Amino acid sequence: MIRYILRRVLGAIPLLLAIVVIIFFVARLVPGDPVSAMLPENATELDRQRMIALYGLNDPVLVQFWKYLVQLVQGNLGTSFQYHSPVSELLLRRLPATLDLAIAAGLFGWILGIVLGAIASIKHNKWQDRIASVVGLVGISAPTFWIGLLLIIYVAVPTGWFPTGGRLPADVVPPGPTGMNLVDAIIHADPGLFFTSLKYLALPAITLGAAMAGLLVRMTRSSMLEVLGDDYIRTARAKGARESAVNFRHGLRNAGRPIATVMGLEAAGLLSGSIVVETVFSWPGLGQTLVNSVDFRDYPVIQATVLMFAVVFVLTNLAVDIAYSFIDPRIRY
Amino acid sequence: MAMVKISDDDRPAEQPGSMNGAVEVRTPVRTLSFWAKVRRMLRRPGAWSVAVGGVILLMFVIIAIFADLLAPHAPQAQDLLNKLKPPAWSDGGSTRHLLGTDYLGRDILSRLIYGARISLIVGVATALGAAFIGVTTGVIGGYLGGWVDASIQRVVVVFQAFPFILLAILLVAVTGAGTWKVVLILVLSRWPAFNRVARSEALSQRTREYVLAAEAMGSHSLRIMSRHVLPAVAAPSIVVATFSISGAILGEAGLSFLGLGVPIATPTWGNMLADGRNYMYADPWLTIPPGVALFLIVIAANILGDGIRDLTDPRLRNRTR
Repeated sequence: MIRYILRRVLGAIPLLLAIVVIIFFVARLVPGDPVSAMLPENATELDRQRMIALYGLNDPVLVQFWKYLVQLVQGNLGTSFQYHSPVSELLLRRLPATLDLAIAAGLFGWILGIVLGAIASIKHNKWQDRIASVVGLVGISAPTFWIGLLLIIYVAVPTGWFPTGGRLPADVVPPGPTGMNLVDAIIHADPGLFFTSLKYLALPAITLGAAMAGLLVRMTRSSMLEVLGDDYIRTARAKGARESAVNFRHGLRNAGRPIATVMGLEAAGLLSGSIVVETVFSWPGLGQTLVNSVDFRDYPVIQATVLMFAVVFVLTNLAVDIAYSFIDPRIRY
Repeated sequence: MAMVKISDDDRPAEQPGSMNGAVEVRTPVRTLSFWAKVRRMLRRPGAWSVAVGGVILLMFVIIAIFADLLAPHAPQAQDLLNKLKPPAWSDGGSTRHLLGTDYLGRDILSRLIYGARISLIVGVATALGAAFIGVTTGVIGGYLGGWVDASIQRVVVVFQAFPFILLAILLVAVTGAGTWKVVLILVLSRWPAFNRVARSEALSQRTREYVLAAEAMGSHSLRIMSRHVLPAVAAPSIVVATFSISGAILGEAGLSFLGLGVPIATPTWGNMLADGRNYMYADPWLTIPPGVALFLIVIAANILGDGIRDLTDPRLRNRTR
């Protein structure tokens, strides 16, 4: 087991390196030279030369790449054009918001998806099954950002129960230390803060989790239907096991692997989905930072945010792969 | 729907009711006429999904092809005196603009009709491109095996783990928006799915008698792959292709919504939703038509995919659903 985990972790390194290489070179595709893009209109030729020297743009590309790598390892992601502050600080400030959103959406999607899927397969061909199947189909078919817009227009605005953007009211100072508001509220044992942040979090999390719920309903339903037709289920019934034990201990547990696969794939998908959802709900996370920095052509931030997303993406996939070997001991690598 | 009737006539009287009407009793083998085959097909699991999904999708295809004839206005034409008009059936709407106008006075119905083009082009081009790469590599890898297969699988694993949406954002941020850039990125992200399906099917074909017979006769492996393995790969690949179409359409809409997909001036559903978002409090109607269109086309493709999968799945063929 340890050898397997070690091999997988080592195997992720070339992939991460490939991502760094691709991001570095795609970022160099900027039309014209980056220096002119950064300098003000009235800059002199001398300013230009200084800028080129400052950013080491006279060096051969490979030398530049090496310097970039060294800086990366040291945690230096450059300076934002837009905010004139280190990119790493900016990203670390924004990361908790995205994690908050992704985790809440993931929990919503997993719980709803697996519960509905299990009910659908147990009540096969009954009305519960039909409803769950429709929920699944709608979940995977409705565009995420459209669900978000509809929730704002037809739920948040008319009822006034949910805010339409942001993470907390302007007069509430996030207490820290993690920056993830729900976690912080629990740490400080502050139910008021907890419910306020939950109100802000609810609609974005539902929006982001909907697609995942849809996929999981379908996956859970079909893999449980397959399992429930197996011989050992009949054996379990024959020996007089309770129906709930048959369905959950024998059924759902054995259907777990394909479900876990989808959960894993989607965990990474939550990240890319968060880019859209954060834009719709003005959620101050990494995704919104990325979209804003694209508007401002803030290349250091774009490059670093994409890199950060990619690294989290790869690590999530890795964690899921390793989790499999715990979920299903039949897998031998 | 004439086919409904035919199917009802043909159904044995003792098993009424079942909507999906799977074949429950195996009829003895006999030669069937074309219509009898159609009737039989419609009673198989998934047949109705194929029919419903296919018809809706076909409607979108027709709309896209004849957009020039169907659209009442040019999609870019601005009628600034009549901007942000509501649809014809509500107060202040007019039949001149059936679904109303946007903030530049552009006709929503016309933009919707032209938007079908972009969505379908992106969806179909992505599916074709990804299928070409994925099926070719899958069949070659699965049939030849050995180091060829191993090295292809290495590449597949890397592509599966690569977050392409991010690459798309980076590429567009740096070089500007473009429809074909979106397609390229979507193809790169989707071909591994085809590869997986094609490879596993090719692996099982490798040991079939007719393949072995062709090998014994000395057929070239290229010929075996294209004549004997490829046809077996077709059905599961079509299933993946329909889901790829819906996935690509959603992907394009999402990127366009962020302003990172198809150039902003082009009438696409994603761009229309992005415009609608800016006016969602003043004029929430703007978000409805493009959202409904997207939802409908994607759900149709997904239903079609579900149907084809059930229809071609041998495990479901004789099962009552």
